[in-house]
This record gives sequence, C-alpha cells and structure tokens, in this order.
Amino acid sequence: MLDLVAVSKHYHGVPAVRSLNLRIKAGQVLGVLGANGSGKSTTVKMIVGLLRPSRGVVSWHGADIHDQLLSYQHLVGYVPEEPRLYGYLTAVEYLELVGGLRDIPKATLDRRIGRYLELFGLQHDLYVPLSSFSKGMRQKILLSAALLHDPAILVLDEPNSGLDVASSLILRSLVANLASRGKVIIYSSHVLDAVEKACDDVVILHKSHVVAFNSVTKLRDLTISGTLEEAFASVAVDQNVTQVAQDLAEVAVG
Amino acid sequence: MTAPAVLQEWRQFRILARDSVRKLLNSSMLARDADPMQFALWATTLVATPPALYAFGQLFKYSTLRSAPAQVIEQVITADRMFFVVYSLIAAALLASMTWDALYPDRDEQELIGALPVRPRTATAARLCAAVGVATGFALAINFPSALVFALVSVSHPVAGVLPVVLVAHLVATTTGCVTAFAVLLAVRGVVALVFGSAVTDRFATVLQLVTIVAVVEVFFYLPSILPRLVQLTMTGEGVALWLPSTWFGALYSGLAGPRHAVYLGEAVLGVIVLAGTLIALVPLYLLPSRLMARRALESQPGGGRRVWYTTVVRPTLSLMSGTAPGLSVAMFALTSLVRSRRHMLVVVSYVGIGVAFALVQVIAAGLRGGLQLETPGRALLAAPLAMMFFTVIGLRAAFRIPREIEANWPFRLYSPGVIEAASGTHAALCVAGIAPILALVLIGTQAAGWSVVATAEVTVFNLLAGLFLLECGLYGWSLIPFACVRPEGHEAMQTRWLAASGPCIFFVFGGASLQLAGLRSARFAAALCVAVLALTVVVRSARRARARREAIPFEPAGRLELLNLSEAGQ
Repeated sequence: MLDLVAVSKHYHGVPAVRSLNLRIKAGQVLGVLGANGSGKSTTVKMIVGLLRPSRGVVSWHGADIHDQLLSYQHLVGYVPEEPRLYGYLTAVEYLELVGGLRDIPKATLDRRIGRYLELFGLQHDLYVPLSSFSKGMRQKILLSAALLHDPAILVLDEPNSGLDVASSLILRSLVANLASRGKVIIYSSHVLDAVEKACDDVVILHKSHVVAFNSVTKLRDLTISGTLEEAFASVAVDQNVTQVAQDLAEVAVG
Repeated sequence: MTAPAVLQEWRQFRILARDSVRKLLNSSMLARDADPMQFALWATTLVATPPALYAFGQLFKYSTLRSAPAQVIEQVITADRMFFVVYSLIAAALLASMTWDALYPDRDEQELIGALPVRPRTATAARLCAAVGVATGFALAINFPSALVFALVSVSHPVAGVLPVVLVAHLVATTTGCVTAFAVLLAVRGVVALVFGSAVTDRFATVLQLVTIVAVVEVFFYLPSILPRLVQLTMTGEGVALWLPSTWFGALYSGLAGPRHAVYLGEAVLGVIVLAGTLIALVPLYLLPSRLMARRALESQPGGGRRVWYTTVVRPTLSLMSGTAPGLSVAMFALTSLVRSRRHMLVVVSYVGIGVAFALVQVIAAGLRGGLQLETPGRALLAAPLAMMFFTVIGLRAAFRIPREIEANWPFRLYSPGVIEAASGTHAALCVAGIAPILALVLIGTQAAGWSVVATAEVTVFNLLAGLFLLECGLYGWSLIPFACVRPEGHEAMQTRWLAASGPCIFFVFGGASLQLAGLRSARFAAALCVAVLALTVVVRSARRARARREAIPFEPAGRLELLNLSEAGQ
C-alpha cells in the first residue's frame, strides 16, 4: 500500500504541491489530473523517489520510502513525462543499460528485451539510435524499460504521449491487466478520456492543492452531463475557454 | 531577384552569420555547460601564450646582437619570424579541427532552418563567412601579444625595421598564413564531405586534431633546429621553397618589415594568390552543393551500433572486469557514450596527442644524441608507452567528467548504483580504452623492432602492472558515473591542474622507465618490482573502496543542493 501523508513540496520557496493525502492500494489504478503547473509531475516524482517532500511522508507499506530508497526503487517502474533518452544509444543498448542497473540476469534480460521490442513492433529497429525514433517509438522504449523488472508500482506520467491509436488501446488494456495482477498504478495525464477509461480513482490537482479525490464514477455523477471532462472543468478550469480561444484567433489578425 | 528580395536575403545572411559564430564557438567548446566567453578567453590565451613567450625569450638575444653585422641580424630575425608563421599555420589547423562540426548543417539545425523561408545558399554563405571571420579574429588575437613583444624586442638594430611597421607586418603575415591554412582545410573538408559523407569527415577531424597537437608540441622542441634551413630556402627562393606556405608568409613578413629582397616579392605574391584563390574556390565549393548538403543532413541517419565487436570482444572483457551487472552497465555506457561523441573524443584525442608528442620527444632526443637503438630496450623507448598511458588515462578521466545529455540521466538517479559500482565500471572502461590498446601497441612495436620474446613479455607485464597501478591512483576519490553526473565546478580543468599533474607524470614516466630498465637487466629485481607494484595497487584499491563507501554519487551540483536545502529549511 502506497501512502502520501500531508505531503508538500516547495521549490525555492514556491509551493508546487500542498498537503497532499493519498492512499493507493494494490490493484488500484489512480489517475492524476491537473492543468499545467498544478503539481502533477512533482507528485509523480515524489512517488517515484526522485524528489524528497519538503514536508510529509511518502510511505510504502508503512515505511518512509526515503529510509529504504534503493530497495523501494527496485519496486518502481517509471515512464517520465518527457521521453528523455540517450539519443546515441540503440534501443537494445538502452534497455540493457536499464536492465543492468536493475541487476537483471543477462539471459533473462536479453529474453525480455527481445520480447518487448517484438510486441511493440520495434524488432526491425534494434540497431537504430534512439535519436532517430519517433516520439511514439521512444515512449514504447520507456514503457519497456519501466516493465523490464516486473515492478510492483508502475508510475506513468503522460504515457499516451505520441502513441498511435493501436498502441494507446494496448496501453489501456495493459494497465487493466497489470492492475488485475495486484500492481499499484499511478497514471498522470492531460488526456481526460484516457484517464476516464483506464483509472478507477482520480485525484485532481489545481494550483498545488487537491480539489477532488474520488472514483471516476462518483465524479461523473456530480455533473449534469456525466462526463469527467465536465467534472474537471468545474473544479480546475478558471478561464473562459471560448473567450480565450477567440482572442487567440484574433491576435495575428489585428 | 527584386531589390526587396535581395535586401531580405542580406538581412537573413547577417542574422545567420551571427548565429553561426555562436555555433562555431559552441562546437569548439569541449563541455556544453561551460561559459562560452570564458572558454574563448581561456582557449585564445592558451594558444597565444607560446609565441608570446618565445618572443619574450628573444629579448636577451637581440640586446646582445645590437652591434652584430647586418647579415647576421637578417638571418636571425628571418628565422624568428618564420617561427611565428609556422606556429600560426599549426594554430589554424587546430582551429579547423575544433570547429569542424559547425561548418555544415546537422539534422536538428536543418529541421529548424529548412522550415523557414531561407535559401540553403544563404545559410551556407553565412556559415562560410562566419568561419573565415572567426579564423581571422582568432589569428589576430593569438598573434597580437607576440607581435607587440617581438616588435619591441627585435627593433634594436636598424636592419630589423621600425616598430609600427614590424608590428603590422607581424600581424599581416601571421594572420594571412593562419587564414590561408584554415581556408585550405575548409576546402579539403568541403571536398571530403561532398565525396565521402559525414562519417569520414568526422574521422578526418579526429586525425587532424591528433596531428596538430603533436605538431604544436614538436614545433617547440625541434623547429629551432630546422629554421635555419627554412630561412636559407626562403632567401634563395629555389626548389621546394616555393611549395612551403611558411616560405610564402615568411617572405611576406620580411617583404613588409624589411630587409627586402627581390626574391621575397615572388614568394609573398604566391602566398597571397593561394589565399585569394582558396577563398574564391570556397564559394562555389560550398554554395553550389548547399541544397544537396541540406537534404543529406535531413535524410542522414546517425550511425547505429553494429554490435559484432561489442558482443564478441568488449562486452566479455568488461563483464570480467566490472564484476556486477550495474558495474558492467556503467562501463558499457561509458564506452558507448565516448565512441559516439566527437566532442568527448576531442578531449581524449587532445590528451593522447600530448602523450604521443611527449613520447616522440623522448625517442627523437635519444636518436639525436645517438643513444637510440630500436632493437634493444632503452629508457626512451620504455618511457614512450608509459607517457601515452598516463595521458590517455587522464584524458579519458577528464572526458568522463563532462556530462552528455544530462537530462537523460534519470535511469541512473532512479536505479542509482553505488559509488563502488560506478568506480568499478569506470575502472573497466578505462582499462579497455586506456590500457589495453597501449599494451597491444607495445606487443606489436616490440616484436616489430625485433626484441626477444622474453623482453617483450617482461615489458608487457611491467606495463600492465603500471597501468593497473595508474588506474587505481587515478580513480582514488572517484564517485561519478561517466557522462551522467553534473561536472564539479572548478575541478579537473587542464588550466588549473596541469602543474599538479606534472610531478606524478614525471615520476610515472621516467621513474617507471628506469625501474623497467633495471628489471630487464635483473630477474630478481623484476620479480621484486612486480610484487611491489602489485602490493601498492592492492593498497590503493582498498583505500579507494573504503573511501567510496562513505561517498554518494553527485547528480546535482553542490551549490544547487545547498540552495535547495536552504530553501526547504526555510519552509
């Protein structure tokens, strides 16, 4: 069980996340929603252990993850928001690097790498540098790297970014499948539709605060039209969307 | 083309030329995180220092020659002028090899520029002008201190000319020489890129840099002995003299500053014609295929890994040496990152070049003294691999500290291997890239020279042990993952550490060679030497590992961590 208790994070005094309380159980898929700068990625990085909270505790089965960070990180698979990869490495070299750092035995690693690349349709690009890969192909490599060691916690930050329709559908099924195997899954995204279909529960962040934390069904029930988009707009969108769009269209004309 | 279109192209040209200057500077910077202005100042000062020191060193000589006959003064002063010209020519080659990458567009740049309404010829012309401009500025900057000092020093005799004239002549001759050499290399690069593609031109740049660094060092040791012959050729203007760029620009110098001879005019005119001809030839050479080169840049696929040599040779060796899977990952990552980064290779090649030059100086000096016998082990020959090993290892170590694609280092931060594993991986990588090739060269070289099998085996074992000892010393206090950590500020810079490294270098190279020679003469001493070096290696290794247990891998610069801690403490 993954707990975030009164977690806050400040960057040089500027708050990024304030008093966040979450509990994520095994087999649960938690969606993290929020506008740009709402604190989504900071939350995700604190869950992964890349950032230490300024206040509060992130704990795994009751123990602070920073007390046993290395062993905790062995349980985590992470797909970062930006597909930042060593562009001069090939797909195989990159996955070997990650697998080696994970201390996965060579034979097992080779077998898994071959299988992932085959399933993601990248078996013909084994020796092509990652700099030549499209965004979607890079995302597939990141997903493979996150799954290589069969993680207990899978953290996906904008996992749909650049993926084609078929790959997005595969990802959604994969998330459901992994959840049914008892994995904890955190799914952070801007794509409301993807979150609605993939997640059981949703936390909505707005200006560093949690403004909603409930199941997708209950959040939908709170609105008239019964969509997550409307629920999100009611708690996390301050702007007059139509007016801003009209103003944008007229900037270069006037 | 209409007048507004020409004007627009001119404006685009000016913007792109300014941008190209920045790109050229960035390309020559060995570390992307360095301050470009500071780098430019350091690099220019570094290159300008040797000729300035040489000019200063002539102060005493010219004050004693005040009453010497005009003929003697002319010989001496022409030789000194020739030195500055030759140095300038070599500096141009160094600049060309450092800015090699920025002379044609890469894929990223072409994707940006190609989407804009800019003709490929405009971008190419801007790049070409920027390159020639940078070369001219560089030549003036590196030659101005020596011009000033030499003009002050050398005008003690009327034959040597008048101060302002000498100053101007010095700058004109050295700058013209530098720009000519640079332009010729630009033309060569253009032809090679057009005919053979980017992979070959990259290798050519690496070789060019190695050769120029070796040449710079050798110039100081041996040019003074060759200069009288060059002067004689220049003054007669016969035969091979006409083919030597140093003759053209040496003659230009003397033609401007005096004393003047009829023969100088022809030689100087030849130099100016070559410069003008090369600059004119560059225009069609670069502009005509500009569209083709832009398309090639967009369609180019970066070279991937053909993994045969990797899987069959490198990986098993690294696996054997690094011990754990994370250690092996670090080692593989270090070597792959190195061989696929020309910028980092340039760092290593610079150090290797100094090592080669250092080794050559010993060998040539022994040859000139008549004490060099290739068929038997001598001190100079034994010192050569040790010098190369020393400089290669510190060069690799310096390159490993320069980060590459630092934003992509999150797998290391996330799965962070310990300092011991990071050091094991680095050790394995250094061994494969820094020690093994030199041992192979020792084996081949000694056998080619006709040494006995026993001597070859002994020398190989000595060098292997010396290499392992060097690695342990070099990695003492090492806590980084090569290429994946932020560079510690103020550390390991050549301009600040060279003095501290010179003591260990002299001990390792000359002390090592003497001990090896003694070991080759006595089997008992050889055995004792091996045991002692091995024991020392084990001691240093234990100390290194004990220290590593107390350290953490610094992924953040120390200053930033302190700032973050302060900020968080203030909440």
